[in-house]
Order: sequence, then C-alpha cells, then structure tokens
Amino acid sequence: MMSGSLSGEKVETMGIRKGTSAPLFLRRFHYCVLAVALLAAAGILPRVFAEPAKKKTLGLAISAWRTALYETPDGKEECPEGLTLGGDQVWLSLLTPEQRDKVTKHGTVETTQLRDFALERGPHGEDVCWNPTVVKDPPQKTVQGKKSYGLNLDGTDDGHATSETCGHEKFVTPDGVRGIDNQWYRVIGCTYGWRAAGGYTEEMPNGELRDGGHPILVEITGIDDLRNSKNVDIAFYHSTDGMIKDNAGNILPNSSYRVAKDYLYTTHGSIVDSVLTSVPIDIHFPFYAHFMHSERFIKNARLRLDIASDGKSASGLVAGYYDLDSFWSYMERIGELFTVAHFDCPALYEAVHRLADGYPDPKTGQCTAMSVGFSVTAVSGYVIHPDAKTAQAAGPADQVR
Amino acid sequence: MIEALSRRGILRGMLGGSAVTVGLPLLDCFLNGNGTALASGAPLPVRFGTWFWGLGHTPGRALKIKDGTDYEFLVNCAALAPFKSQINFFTNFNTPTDGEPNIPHDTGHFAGLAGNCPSAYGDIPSPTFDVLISDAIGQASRFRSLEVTASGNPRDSLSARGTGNFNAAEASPFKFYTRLFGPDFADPNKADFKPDPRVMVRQSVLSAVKDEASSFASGLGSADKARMDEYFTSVRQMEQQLNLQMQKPAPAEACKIPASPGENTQIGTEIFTAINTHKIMTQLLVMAVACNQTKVFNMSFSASASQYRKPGDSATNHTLTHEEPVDAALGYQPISDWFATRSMESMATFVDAFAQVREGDGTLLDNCMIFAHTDTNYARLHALDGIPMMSVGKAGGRIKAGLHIAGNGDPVSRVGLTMMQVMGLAVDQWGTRSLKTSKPITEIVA
Amino acid sequence: MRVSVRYWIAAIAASALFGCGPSEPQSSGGAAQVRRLTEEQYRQVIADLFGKDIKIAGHFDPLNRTDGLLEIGASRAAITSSAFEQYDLIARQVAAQVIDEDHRNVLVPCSPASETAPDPACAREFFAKIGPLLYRRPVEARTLDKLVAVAGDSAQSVANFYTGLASGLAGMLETPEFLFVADYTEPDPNHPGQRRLDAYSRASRLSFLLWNTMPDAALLKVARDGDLNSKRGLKRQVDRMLASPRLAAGVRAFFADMLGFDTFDTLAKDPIIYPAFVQSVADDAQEQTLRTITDLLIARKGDYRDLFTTRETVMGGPLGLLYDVPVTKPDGWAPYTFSDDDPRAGIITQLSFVVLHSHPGRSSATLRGKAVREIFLCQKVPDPPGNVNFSLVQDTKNPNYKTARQRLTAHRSAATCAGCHKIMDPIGLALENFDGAGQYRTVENDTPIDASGEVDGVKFQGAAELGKVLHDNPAATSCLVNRLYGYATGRPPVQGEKDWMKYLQAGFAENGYRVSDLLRLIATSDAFYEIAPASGAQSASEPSPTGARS
Repeated sequence: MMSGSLSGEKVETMGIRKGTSAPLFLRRFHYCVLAVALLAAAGILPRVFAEPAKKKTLGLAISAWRTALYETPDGKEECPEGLTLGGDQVWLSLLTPEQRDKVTKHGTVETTQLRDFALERGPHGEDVCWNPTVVKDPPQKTVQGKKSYGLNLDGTDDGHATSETCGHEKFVTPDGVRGIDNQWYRVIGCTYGWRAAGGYTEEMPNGELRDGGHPILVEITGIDDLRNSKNVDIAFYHSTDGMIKDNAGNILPNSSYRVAKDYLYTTHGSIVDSVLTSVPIDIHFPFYAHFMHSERFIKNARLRLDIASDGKSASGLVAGYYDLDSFWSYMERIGELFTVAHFDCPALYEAVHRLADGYPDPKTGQCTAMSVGFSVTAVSGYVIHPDAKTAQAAGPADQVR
Repeated sequence: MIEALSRRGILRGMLGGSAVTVGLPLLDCFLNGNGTALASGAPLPVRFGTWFWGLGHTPGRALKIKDGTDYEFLVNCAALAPFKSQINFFTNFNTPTDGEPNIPHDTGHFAGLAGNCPSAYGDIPSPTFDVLISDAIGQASRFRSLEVTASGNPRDSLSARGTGNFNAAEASPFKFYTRLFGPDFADPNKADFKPDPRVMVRQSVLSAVKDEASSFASGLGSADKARMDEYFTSVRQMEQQLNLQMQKPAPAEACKIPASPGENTQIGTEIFTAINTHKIMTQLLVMAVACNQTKVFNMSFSASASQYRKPGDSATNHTLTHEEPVDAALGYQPISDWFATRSMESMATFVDAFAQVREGDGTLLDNCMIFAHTDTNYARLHALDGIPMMSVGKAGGRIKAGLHIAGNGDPVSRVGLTMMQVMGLAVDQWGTRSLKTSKPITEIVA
Repeated sequence: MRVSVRYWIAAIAASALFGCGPSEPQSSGGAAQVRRLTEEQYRQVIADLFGKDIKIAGHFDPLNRTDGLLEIGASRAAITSSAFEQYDLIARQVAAQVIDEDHRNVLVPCSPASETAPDPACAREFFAKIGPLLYRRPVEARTLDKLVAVAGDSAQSVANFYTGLASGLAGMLETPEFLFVADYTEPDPNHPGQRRLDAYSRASRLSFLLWNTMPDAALLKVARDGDLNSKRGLKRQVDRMLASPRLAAGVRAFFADMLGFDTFDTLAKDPIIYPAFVQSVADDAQEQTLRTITDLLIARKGDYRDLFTTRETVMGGPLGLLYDVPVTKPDGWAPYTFSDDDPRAGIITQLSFVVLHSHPGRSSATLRGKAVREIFLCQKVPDPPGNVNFSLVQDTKNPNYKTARQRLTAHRSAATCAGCHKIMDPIGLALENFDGAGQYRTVENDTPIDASGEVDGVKFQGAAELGKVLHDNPAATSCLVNRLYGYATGRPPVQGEKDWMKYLQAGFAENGYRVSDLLRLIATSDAFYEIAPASGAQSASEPSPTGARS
C-alpha cells in the first residue's frame, strides 16, 4: 500500500509505484490513518516512530507555500501569447455586439455586476465553475517556454507515455537540470492570479498563515548529523497552534506546535549535504484559504528541502502529482475569484485534463493527476505530540539545537 | 477689546450662579491676552474625536514619505492637502494578534482603539480609548460623548466600554438634531439654566465622603495627617468640577443653533447619499462641539467592511476590494481606489467644518485632536500591519502637526496611548499582551 | 548564621528548662502604619466582595519602592488629585455594576418597596452587609445613617432606588477607611506601657499578608468575638488561612513585590536585536517565575534556598521561543524540567530575572550583579558617581573588547569604578550566557563567553553554580526574613526588634527554610502585633475613644 510507511514498508524508487489504484488505495489509506489516530488517542500507541536515544530531531513548520513558477518580468519568454483572461472577459468576447449591448444594458452595468452573469452562463443557468463542461470556451493560454522549476517525477528524459504516465513535454531548470515535470506550471503559468504580480490565490492563504493560521509540520527524526544523515524518518502533521511573528512580520523559530490528532503521514528519507530528500508517498496537504478549509491531494509527494546550517529554517520543493479531483474541488469553491485571478473555469478544466500526465485511468487512459512543484519555506519549531505529558518528554536534549 | 468692561467682574457674576444675565456672545474680553484661555484662567477646552472610514487606502496611492517626518498626500488623500499642517500621518505601526485570529474588518481597528485584539466579532474586552478620554474630560459636559454614523446603521459605532455593548451611533440626522438642539438644549448664550440632579447627587456623596474622612484623619499622627491633607485637596478639586457643572454654562462664541435637517432626510448606503448624510451630520456635530455640548465625539463615515456602492451597482465597496481585478496597466483596483478617494474627500469635509469655526485666536480645529483611522492597510488582503492612521488638529497647542511618523513595526497602541496622554489622562501604560505599551509618540508632543 | 543557630539552641535549652515551647523574645514593635491599598489588593477586594465579573477599568497611581519594597512605599503613599479622579471613576463604575440588573438580585440582600423611591430599610440592610467587609471593621451607626441618607437623597433626585444605593457604595469606595489599611491600636495588657493592634487590625494584617485581600467574614467574626487576641484563636485562624488556596495569592504578591516585577510595566527590548521578545513575553516571564515559586514553596512545601537551584518550572505561551525549548501547552502552562546539564537552574536564570536586569539591546553583568546583591542578599550597592564615562561598556562593537567581561575589565581599571564593580560584576558575569532577552548563547561577537564568577570569595563557573553559591549564602535566608517581615508590617524592622528578628531567622533555619512555616511563625507571634508608642512626629494611628473605632 502507498502509505505503507506505517507498516514499515519502504518505497525505494522515486518513480511512481506500479499497480496502484487510486480509489482503493485512498480507502486503505484512510483506514490506516484512522487506526493510528485511534490508537494514539487511546494512549495505546507507544512511540512507534521513536528514534534511538542519540538521534536528533528537527521540527519544521511550513510558513509559505507557492506554486514554483518560472517567470520573466513581462512574461514574454514563457507566455508569448499573453496572459489569460478572466471568465467574464472570455464570455463577453464570445458575444455578438448586439448580445453584449443587451447584457450590459448599453454599457451601463458595472464590470463587477457582470461577474454573476459570466459565472452562471450554462445553457440552463448552471455555474460554469461547478459545471465546467457545460460550455466550451476557447482553449486556455498555457506556458510555451522551456524553463521551469520542479523535479523529474517519471524518471524519463523525454516525458514519453508509460503505463503510469501520459506523454508530456519536459522542462529544464534555469540552472540547467533537465527532465523536469511540472504540467501544473504549464497550465497556470500564464494566469495572473498565480503569477507574482497577481498572486492573489496563493498570497492570501500565505498571509492568513502568517496572521496566526495553522501550519503543516514536518518532523524529521533519527538524524545523526544535520548535514548528512543516511536514514531519517519523516512525519507530516497539521498543527493546532498558530505561528508567531516578530515586529517585522517574520515567523520566529523555536515556537511549539501541538499536532492535530487525526492528521499524520509518515515516510523516510535522507539528508545529503544539508538537502533533505524524502521517499514519495501520497499526502493530503491541508490549508486554509480565502476563509475556507481546503486540501491539496498530492500523490507520490516528496520533499526536497535545503536545511539552513543553524537548523532554524529550510526551503525547497514539494513535488508530486496533483490529483485533479482534489484540485477541482478547490476550484469549485474559489471559482468566484475568476475575475480577480483571471481564470476561466471551462478553459482551465479542459487544460488540466488535456495536460495531465500522471495516473492514467486504466479504462480510458485519461490521466487523473498532473505533475507539480510547489516552492515552500519553513521555520524550525517544536512538534508537540498529544501524548507528551510534560515538555521534557519532547525534551530539548534530543533536539538538533 | 472693550476696555471699559471688567471681564473678571462679568464672569464672577455669571459663574457665581447669581441672577446676573449676560446675553452676549463670548467677547474678546472673556479671553486672556493671547486668546487661549478664558479669563477665569480655564483654558479653552480641548476636544477629542475619532473619524473612521472602512477599507483603508490603495497602497502607494495615499502618501509619499519625503524625508523621515515630511510627507506629501497622493491621489487618495488629495482633498486633505489644504489641511496638511494640521495632520500627522502614522505609518508602519503593527497589530500583533498574539495567536488570536485576524478577524477581518474587526481586529484591525479594535486593536488600535482598545489596545487588545478581539477573539470574536465585536468582542471587545476593554474600553476603546475614546471612552477612557470621555471618562476623563467628558463628565463636565452635557454629553459624555457623541457617536454618529453616516451609514444609516446605528450599529456602525466603534465606541465601547468593553462590557459587550457599543455606544450606539446616531444614524438619523433629524433625531441627532433633536437630541442636540431639542427641548433639553441649554443655549450657552442665553440666560435660562437648569441644574442636573445627578451632579447634585455626586456632590452630596462627596460631602459625605469628606465627613467620613475627617473622622478618619482625626486619629492619625502628623505624618499621616499630611497625607490626608492631600486627600482632602483632591476631594475639593473634584467638588469644584462638580460645582462648575451646576453653574450656568459659559457663553460659546461660535455657537449658532443650526436649522433642522428635516424628518425626511434620505439615508442609505448609496455612496453619494452617504456622503450627503455625512455632511449634514458633520454640521450638527461641529455645532454640538462649538456649543460645548460635548468634548468627545466619534464619527463613522462608513462601516469597516463598507457596504457603500455606486448607484446602479450591486457590488459594494467591500466586495470590490476582494473581487475587483487589479488593473494590469494601472497596478491597482480602480473602483476600490475610487471609493478610498471618496472617503478621504469626506474626511476633508469633516476637517474643514471644524476649521471654519472661529474660536479664540484660532479655529475649533486648533482646539481639537481627531483620530482618523481605518480597519485595514490593504483591504484586498485584510492586511493588519501598517494600517493608516492620522491625527488632525493641534489639541490646543499640545501637539505638533504636519508630520509623518514611522512606527517601525511598533504596536499600534502607541498611537492611542499618546492621544490619551495628550488629552491629559494620567495613563502611562496601555494595551494588553503584545499591544501593551508605555511608549508615547513623543515626536508629536509639543 | 552561627549566631542565630546558637541563639536558637539556647532558646530550645531554655524551653526545655521551663517546660514550654521556645519562648518569643520581647519586641518593641514598630510604629503604626497607614497603608494605601495596592492595585492588586483593590482588585482582589472588589472581586472577593462583588465577583470577578465586576470590571475595573482605570489606572492606579504607582507606589514608590522604599527599603526594597513597594509595600513599605504604601505606608507613605498619598492620594493625589489624579489618583482621586481615578478612584472616583472606578468607584462609580464598580457601584453601577453592583446594582445593575445582572447583579442586584445577588448582591443586594433585599428588594425595595418601590424601585423609583428611597427605601431606607433596604438601603440600611445593604450597607450593613457590605460595610464591615469594605472597611474591615464594624461600621458605626452614625456612618450607616449617613450612607442611608445619601442613598435616599440620591434615589429621590433621580427617582431610582438602585441609583441611590450606587451613590452610597461609590462614596464608601472613595473614603480613606476603604482606600487605606490603617493600624488601629489599643493598650497591650501583657506589656503595660506598650500598645498592640486591635483585633480588627490584626485581622487585616493577617489577611493582607497571607491572602493579599481583606479579612473574610469568618475572620471578622473571630475578631469581633475577641478570639483573635487569644493564642489559640489566632493559631486556629492562621492554620485555616495557611491551608487555603488563597495563600498562593499572598505569596505571589510578596515575591512580585520583592523581585521588582512592577518594573516590567516599562520594560522595553529592541525588536531588531531581540525579534523573539514579543511583548507578551514580559507577562509570561513573570508568571513563570511566580508559578515556580508557589509550586516549590507552597505545593511542595520546599526549602526557600532551592529557588536558587531548582530545575523545575513551567513553560507556556511564547516563552519557548526564547528558551528554545518545546512548550506542550502553548495556550496555557505545563510543567517543565531543565535537564541536569542545562545551564538554567534557579529563578535567577529565568527570563524574569535576566531580562529585567538588562538593557534594551544588551545584557548587563553589572545590573544583574547589583540586583542579586540588593534583591536576594539585601545589600545596598552605591549608585555610580555622576561623572563616569560609560562609553566603553556600552560599545558592544568595539573590536578590542568583544565580550562584556573584556569591556567591564577595561572600565574597572578606573579607580573610582573599581570598588563597586568588584562587588557586582563577578556575580553578573556568571550570567553572561544569557543575552539581554534571556536567550542562551555561548559566544559574543564570535568570542567565547567566560561565565566564571565570584561571590564573597567563593569562585564558581556559570549560572547554575551561581545558584548553588547563593543557596548556601547565609545572607540569602536572612534577607528573605527581613523582606518578608517588612512586607508584613509595611515598615523596615526597627532597633527594638533585633532579638525578635534573630529569633525569626533561627526559626526559619530550624524549619528547613520553609516559607509557610516562617509565615506561621510571624502570624502567630506577639511581636507581629506589637506597636511602639507614637512619639511626636512619628506616624501612628490612635484609636478614637468611642464606638467601633476603638
């Protein structure tokens, strides 16, 4: 099973595991987490992941999470066709002058009022973000450039179709690493709301996180040395405590974070030259955005983090395959932002399915997830487990610092 | 100056509560040589007010900081330019929440007003500082404080004692007029006067307290007796304050009873209606202040998540700040920006109304300190840090104005602490948790 | 120390000879005091009497620290105009809440015949109920009459019975009887020519010392019945009060005073140098130390000296940021034990001490050394002369003097400075591993910190060893006895109490330096209630000849 780290099974390859069926494994996964949560809640579970006495632990709290975009200032290199338009503009452009004059009441209706019309323009008044296939819009403008950030997820050099992937083009990183998979960037790299200038869809959640939101925690145990450690255990938690910032707005290190009892993913990894790399597993990453709790389901997710020499911060990538259903359920909820973020739900839906490159449906061959790279930053913190009776149980003696 | 009159003689007659009737406005002869104090020695009163608008400014379009303390108003604030010499602009003061959530359109301004962060909407655990100021200076006037809104909604008041209730705002110009200038109004420039029974009650309490204290003091040694003397002095000073309230009010030079706005004045959230309501309310309020009916006032131009909208548009200012696209060419949200500019124009209307009233050698504005503030720095993101704030007026010469003050990330409560101290409150520390401060902004204190 | 033990042995020997407990030496007593209620006491009294939900919004004039304590400053505090304005405001605010619709049914013992008219009987019942608790002694009939009259006048003029009650109550809260705790005295039948506290003042002494609040009804009753003047009656009350959970409030108030926590109100740290020192740290640091103290001294009935060495404490809130340790309950408090090899041990290594005695942007070995001497050893360090050049000490970027030790050594080479610095710096330098925000460090400006130190000839290495040295320093325990007795009486000990103070110190040692036993020894003694006759200009309170005041 994919989340097999609970049973000690190791997934040694960075590639996609063979023969996984997403729905089945998803069910298994939840049972497993539930069982662990129950055991932990009942206090029965001894410290399953406890490390030998001399090993060190590093706790990290993720303080920012952005899509890893390669952007040039005017976008000409990666988006020669220009940026995408919001759904309202797309819709208006499709109308005849007479139709346009009618819906805008001879141009007297404010743009913002047109938003509702643009959203509910299905043949029967359907919301086109909830029902993105009821209308057909012109294709979304996507990235045409060759550069991107991310990792090689499928193990191929050219992105040819395999039993686990659909054919796709590869990127090269700005510093020359080839074979990069990041179809998610290809889809939204030319969309204002995700680009640095707009940034609304991701900067708002990051701001909410800085203003006291609950971070994702990464706890690395079994560390011999912060710079090099062959085998470490890695656990992902969700905290119930907010982050603390200083006067300048920077998140402070050394804060303590209690973990939510019902959220846990574990895997293994290694630290080589201060870079932590994890063995891929499937993870639902929770986040709070636009005043809603949401999550990103990333299959085959892995970390590649540069750990600062003082152990107080880290930055790098979370990469994997973004499950399209998970993605779209988020889009349904923030669909109303299309005028702000300049996306068009029907075109975006079409694009992600056309360009998806992972987890083909065995029957149809349609890929159900797309490669993605997220850029994250983290600060060190103490991970407080529900069974920690007193602080010294999690004690400073076995901490890295 | 009318040389022939003895100003002391006239005032003695009036303030002594005798039947002497002086039907004159406040003449120069009632003022001391430099026009800053009444002949009785009491200085012209300094008044405190707040002026609130929702949703802040457009970043980069309100203010240009020139060199440290100098600044220049940009587009959003262009209407304020004529009053720059009266305005201090505070930037980069922060709102640490100590783990409380950022409650959008609530945390931002209440942190600055109450010195702590609410844990739920409207849950203000301690008094807003206008209340503390009115407790200190508002007792001797007819209204401890006046709360007004231009939005038509009495709930749009930010003044609270921290007990879960807000001082409801006057929302109807006609009701506000009636409350101020209706039957209970004692025209300071007329002869009739009716003493307030509650003041008499407090006088009788103080008299009993003094009796008790005398018997307590009688058994003390001399060193402790000296301490009791100071106590008695303090009691007597308070008695004097109460006595003053039992007297016929001093004449007020600029007090002119305004015309009634009429029962059918339109109110509502359409922006031009609200601007008009604000203008009428402002005229009434300014006269209430000029007629010494209150020394403290709070005006909400709009609610924190402002529901104002353009005619024919269903999208409110609040909705727009979140949903309006940032115009790629302009670099900002044009309609939201338009609203921010309208807010500042109304602020200029408000300020100008105070500046138009002559008082002593200067204007009513010179004897006011008005705290202008908002709920967010950048409404699009509910940004809490660096919320724009201004002080308007010179507080009777107690503060310097025309300065830009950089907060450098200090807690926003420093502004409230400073204002309380300028208003004469003996408070050396204010706020809780990370908002606790004992550092006033000495740069603006004259 | 040796003298004290010898004294105690002699006392025990004498008691064996006479077949009763070691006898208390005779004491002259000190002058009677009139102490202004502290803010904490005011708030506690209102909460005890009317409930915790009565809000008190206003400020209290600060007290001046005198002879090491604010509580002694309270014996000299007056009520200024600004203070009275605030008391007036707070009194009316409290009174309005007591009679509002949420509270009147609980706090007013009767219902008026009409809510819109005076009801003298009900008003009298109300004032008779709360009066003795507010004034801490029976209220004279004459005073009750006056309160009823004020309430009646007030009710009449605003046509509201409850507003009348509020007027009377507000008045009570503004009287000196309430705002000052005065020592009322009477002739001492056991020591002709001397005076002693009357029973009600005994009750106040006890309750403010042990609970930091007014006497409760039970204590007032014993005072009225005369039992508080008997040894047995007194002992029974002291036992009751020491066993009460309220004892923690009393012990906290004493230590907050002794440790100078009032200065936290104006403490500022540079946010650029110490970004993790978010403002709430100041509150939490005090709370941590007070909890450490009550846990050790009350809950575990520990040895006072162990406060200098204990590794047991609590963690909460943002403190973990500065201690760099995990906090299991960030929104509350959880026990925490520093490991044996941790540099932190004892309350002087806690943030509350090292942070308070530092500058906004750097640590200060001198301030810390001075504080150890003055707070814990009751030794007065002279103020620096006016013309000292401090530039060398303050320049933390000087390449020639990278650590505080190097800078202070250079500074001390000036002869005028050497005398004082040599009694302060060697203590403070041992705490140099904690920066101005209390964070642990091993280097300053890339140069390793040498945390060796010396106190009165005893050399040691680092903060934890400093704690051990203080633990064994006899001045630490005699200082505590002095401070606690000064706190209890509102004045420093006087010459005529010399033997008595020695007796207390010996008793403290005999009882294993348990603070609760020291409190018992003080509270059950005769000396504690003894009052020296007033002489001329001396401050003293005499009973009035008649009525409830005598």
